[in-house]
Amino acid sequence: MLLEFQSLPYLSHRGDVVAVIITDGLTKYYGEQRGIENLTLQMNEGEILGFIGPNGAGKSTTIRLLLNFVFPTAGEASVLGYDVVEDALEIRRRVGYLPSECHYYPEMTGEMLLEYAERFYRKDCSKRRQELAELLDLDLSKRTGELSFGNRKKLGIIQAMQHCPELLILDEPTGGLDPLMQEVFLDMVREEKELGVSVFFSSHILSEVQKISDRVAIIKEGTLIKMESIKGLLSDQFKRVTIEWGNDKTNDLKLAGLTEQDRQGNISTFIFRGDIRDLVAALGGLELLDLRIEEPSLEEVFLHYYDHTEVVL
Amino acid sequence: MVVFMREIEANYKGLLVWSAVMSLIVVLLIALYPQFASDQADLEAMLAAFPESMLKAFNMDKVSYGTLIGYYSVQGFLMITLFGSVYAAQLGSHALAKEEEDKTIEFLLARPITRQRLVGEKYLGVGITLALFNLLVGALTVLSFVFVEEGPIPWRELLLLAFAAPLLLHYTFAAAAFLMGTALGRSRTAFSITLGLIFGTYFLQILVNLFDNLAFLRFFSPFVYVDTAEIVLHGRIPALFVMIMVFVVAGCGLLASRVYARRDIFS
Repeated sequence: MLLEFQSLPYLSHRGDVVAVIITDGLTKYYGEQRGIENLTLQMNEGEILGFIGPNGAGKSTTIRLLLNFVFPTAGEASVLGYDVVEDALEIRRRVGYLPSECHYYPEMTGEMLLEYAERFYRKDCSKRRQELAELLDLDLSKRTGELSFGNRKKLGIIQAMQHCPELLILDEPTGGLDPLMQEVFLDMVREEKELGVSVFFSSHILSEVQKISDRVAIIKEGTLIKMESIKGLLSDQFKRVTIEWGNDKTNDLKLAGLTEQDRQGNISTFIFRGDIRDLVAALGGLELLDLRIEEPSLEEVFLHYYDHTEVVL
Repeated sequence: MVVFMREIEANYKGLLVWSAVMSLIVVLLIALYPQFASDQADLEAMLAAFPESMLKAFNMDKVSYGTLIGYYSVQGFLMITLFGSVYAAQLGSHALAKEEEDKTIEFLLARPITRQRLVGEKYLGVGITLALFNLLVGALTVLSFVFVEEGPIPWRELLLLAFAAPLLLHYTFAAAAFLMGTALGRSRTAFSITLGLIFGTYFLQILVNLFDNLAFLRFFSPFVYVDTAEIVLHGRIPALFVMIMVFVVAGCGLLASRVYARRDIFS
């Protein structure tokens, strides 16, 4: 399996070439309760990997395993070539982590907190810290206890990025940020990527993942159900087709790969999965007024992998 | 030593308040002695009025109230050991568990620091804070003692009572609280249990003093370890008891580190 990633620079201690993040059969149970089950995925260097699934799917559990906050029940994982359990220290040195909810020492100011964080890395982060604070428009002289949820999130973003990590692990990063700030933040992530930083981006908001990720991993009930490039996910798989028939009486199409057919008067809609030429051939000679073939939105793709009722969008 | 330094910084206000209050109590108690002792006849009458069991319970049957060191060993020493232990329990139980409860632990664990080191620096932070506490209160105790005492100063006994004994006792309870807090991740539970331990073992010490046939229970109360009669009459804390306390402190630290290194941390 590792052969696919031979161009990557990360070496395990045995000298094998590995990806930025590898999980192999990673499983976590909290007592009886499932966290994740048999999760196997690989993330390439320099990519932004969207990690999506509804709340409770196991996204945060996966991240906690990668950072060794919790220990795996079974399976193993490595980050930047280091084993998550054995070499947690090396991983933390090189990773920036933004939790979904940021909790800090209320009596400290933002500046104090960030300086405290900095001391662990033994490098001067003050310049980068100022840049980030300016980008996010955050006043660092306020005590963290006085900050709103969104502003604490901004502080979280700075503490995750100020020490210039090789890998960013972001858990629901845009939650609490206003739409304008979300755009600023996504730009910051893109910039990090340009600098060669790999980004693991967990979210249940598909539109932002769609905007920024190179690939997505879809997790459902603790299990990875799909790993695909955004492009592949959207285009290769299926199309949404709308046909306006010349007359009401035309029968519905009978063709392999059609699902979710719906007919309202002379308008048919359906999902088509397969070779587009088959569809065109089947339509040939039929009386059409209009034909639209569209990319499905990621939401639709996502719904395809989930039962509609389960998805919180 | 990033976490250690932060721990000292975070503790210093509490340290000042606790030191000030405890010093005030001890200094006041010592300052009251001259008046208290001015009339030996009154004093003896008062002691005679106490039931014998009460004298035994507080070692007053062995230690003379007629000397300042004897008086201090019953009055001031009780305050500093009992209330100081409450402070020690609070420091120990909060050190790591509070980070978990306040969910700041995710911030710490995301830094390049091993869990063992985190535990070690927190433990050291508690230890140094308590050392400073005892240094401050002890220094003021000795100062006011020297100021009030008119006869020769029993240095050995005084230093044992003012520094060594309370410090050992505080360390012992802080260690138990730290281990529980670290293992459970719940500071209040750890604090409550340690409070129970403090007052339970204090009561046990009284029972051991009262009933000779309960002497075998003396190993279960750290308050017996720093018995004032032993210090005032013989100028020593028995080596075995010192060893037990050192062992408890080292053992709790090691065990806390062990447990914490393998524990799932949620927040």
